[in-house]
Amino acid sequence: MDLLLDIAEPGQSRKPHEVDLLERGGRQRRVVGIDLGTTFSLVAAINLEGQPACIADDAERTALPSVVHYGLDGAVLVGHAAEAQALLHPQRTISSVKRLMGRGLAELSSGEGGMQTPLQLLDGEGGMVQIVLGARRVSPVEVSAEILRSLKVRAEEALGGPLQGAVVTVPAYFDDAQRQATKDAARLAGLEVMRLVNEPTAAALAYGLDAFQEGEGRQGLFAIYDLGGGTFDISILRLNEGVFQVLATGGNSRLGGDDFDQRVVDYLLREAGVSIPDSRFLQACRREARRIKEQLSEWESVDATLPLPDGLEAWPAGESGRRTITRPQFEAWIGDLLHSTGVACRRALKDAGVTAAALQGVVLVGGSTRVPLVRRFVAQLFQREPLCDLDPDQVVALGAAHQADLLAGNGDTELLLLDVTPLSLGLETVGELAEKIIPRNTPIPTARAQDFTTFKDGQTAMEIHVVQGERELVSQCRSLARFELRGIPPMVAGAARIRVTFGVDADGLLTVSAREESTGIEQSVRVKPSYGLSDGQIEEMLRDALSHGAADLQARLLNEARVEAERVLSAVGAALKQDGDLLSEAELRRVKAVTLQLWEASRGQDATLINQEMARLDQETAFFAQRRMDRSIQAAMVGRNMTDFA
Amino acid sequence: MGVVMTERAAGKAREMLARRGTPEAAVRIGVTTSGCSGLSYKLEYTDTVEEFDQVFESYGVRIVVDGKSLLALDGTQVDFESSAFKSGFKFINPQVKGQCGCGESFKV
Repeated sequence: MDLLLDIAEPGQSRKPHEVDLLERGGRQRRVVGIDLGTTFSLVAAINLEGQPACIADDAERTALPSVVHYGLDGAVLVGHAAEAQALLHPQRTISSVKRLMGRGLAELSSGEGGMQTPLQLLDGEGGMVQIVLGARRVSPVEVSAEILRSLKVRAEEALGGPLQGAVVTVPAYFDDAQRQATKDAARLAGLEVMRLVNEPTAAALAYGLDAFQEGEGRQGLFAIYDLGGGTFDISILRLNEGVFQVLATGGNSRLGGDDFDQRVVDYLLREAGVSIPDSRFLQACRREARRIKEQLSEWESVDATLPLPDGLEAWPAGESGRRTITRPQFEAWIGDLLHSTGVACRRALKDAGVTAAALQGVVLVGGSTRVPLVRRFVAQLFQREPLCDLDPDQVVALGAAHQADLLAGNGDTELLLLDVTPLSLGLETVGELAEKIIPRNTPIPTARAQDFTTFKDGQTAMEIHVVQGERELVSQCRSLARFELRGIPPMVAGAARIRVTFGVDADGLLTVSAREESTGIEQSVRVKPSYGLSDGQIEEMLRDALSHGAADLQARLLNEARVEAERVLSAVGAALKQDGDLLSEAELRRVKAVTLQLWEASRGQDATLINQEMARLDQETAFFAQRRMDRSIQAAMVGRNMTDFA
Repeated sequence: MGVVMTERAAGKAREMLARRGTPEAAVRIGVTTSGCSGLSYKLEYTDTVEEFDQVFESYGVRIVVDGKSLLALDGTQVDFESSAFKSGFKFINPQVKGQCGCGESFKV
């Protein structure tokens, strides 16, 4: 790699390896933005003109297919070279690895994450899926790292030196496990991740929407419509004081431009009279379909050539193999696909609690948004012309580069990019109740602490069970992690003070720590949940919480009453054991009878009754408590002079 | 022999000297003994010429090299390179026998 120098003032020459990029127009650090996509990935940086730009490979291609081929000889190919191996070695050529990130096998084969793949998958360490390549196994993290490494090499070549950091984008709905997997992949590739940024947020940044101003301050509502090759995402963002929050996400992980192609392929197959195409013929149809689709974005009609079916030397008489496809024809084929994106958009707006009319802007992302019908459709749906000046394939990477530049301190202003927690985070308290520490939609990074105490006398350990969700009962939330804080000095119940701190970093990763304040003993856990939640699941959990709100509250009240009853019963039991002799036979019988009634109530389902019985026991034992107190004061005064108490 | 600049490099240097407000100043080229593989280049503006300095000229730009550095720099051509993401002066030194991976330093 050739080193490029700038002329320095006398005595100010840089030392080797000193971070200084005079040759980059005063930009202090070599940083990039990376869009690690399902079908292709890009890397971008700020160019000498101060604009974000994608970095191209030697063949002037900016998009790197997110495909990795593991050769039998041990060689690893990435991108176009790997793609070329897909037909020949489908089992050793991995595409769409992003769908596997941070996932277990069970999650992949069920629900909307379900995927068809020629790959052989199995569950590996920590319940994460692995890909079998003959005798070897690779994790999705390793495969993604190959893609990132390839982009890193490309960027270092273009920027003239080692990278100092990168901003990597992830879908807004990525959960902790998927984000952590993405970070791990970057680390494996030797990249320092300055931050993970949500893809829709990066797209908004690329358009400079962070500086959007209307009325008072920098605020606004934006929709990001992202129709890629194989996925559709809609995100509603709120800009507040220059900070973006994801209000709602939605979409379809199985819908994209490939489906547009498929509609054209269906037509070609019909016209060619082929019902069961072999892979070669299908490949030819796909190529032709893609060409037709792309040209129809520019022209009103396109001449199509039907691929010649196997076994035919030439078309028979009367069949030329030529067709003309018009734009309206194509639009009719894909109309229902767009309609389904519209349904998702309306749902996202509803989830975000906003109307289309309230939006200040709509951004188009993804190559498929080049199709004129998509633009018309989006314009109509959101009642405004979408932003589409930037290359929709590049816009996420450009925004990430812009963010990387800001984070590196290369720019003038520091933009704090906030995301929010999609679901509440909390812990289990006595009675299987979920105590929320960080409510959902809290901007991150954030840290919150709450003090807890022991429930039983002499309790020396406390289990911290970290849960995620909106429901009141732990069993209906998602369990993220458990750990135990040991070595709490024995004290009476309620005396120990244990401070539990929940911290969520800028990448949405959670750290929980518990500290006993008198001794300073501490335990913490970094949550890397092995099972992720899909968008749909989050939605479902939220919906459940709403529809079960009243029932949940009842359940909570009941459990709280039971816990309190248990505490009271145990306290009365202890008191009777210790100071039972203070009571007459009749008094003892009375106390025991009332105690029994509380015990019975606490087995039932009626929180009000439990509370009533508790109040009654409290009343009935007031005299007993008084006598015990007198006795303990006497005990404390024994052997001392009155002056001690003066 | 000595040290020369290509026309492109000299043009850029003139431009930078003018922008600095010292069109008459010179450019000092030297080596320092640091880096992961021995020596590394130094490229600075200079307003003074010292006793053991040698002065060369290329396309109107005066290039000052101290006597000791010249031993490692004799025959060097300084070029200017520019692409979308980076630009700067490049040293083409026939004496270099090896450089570290990053190109920051070299051996003669």
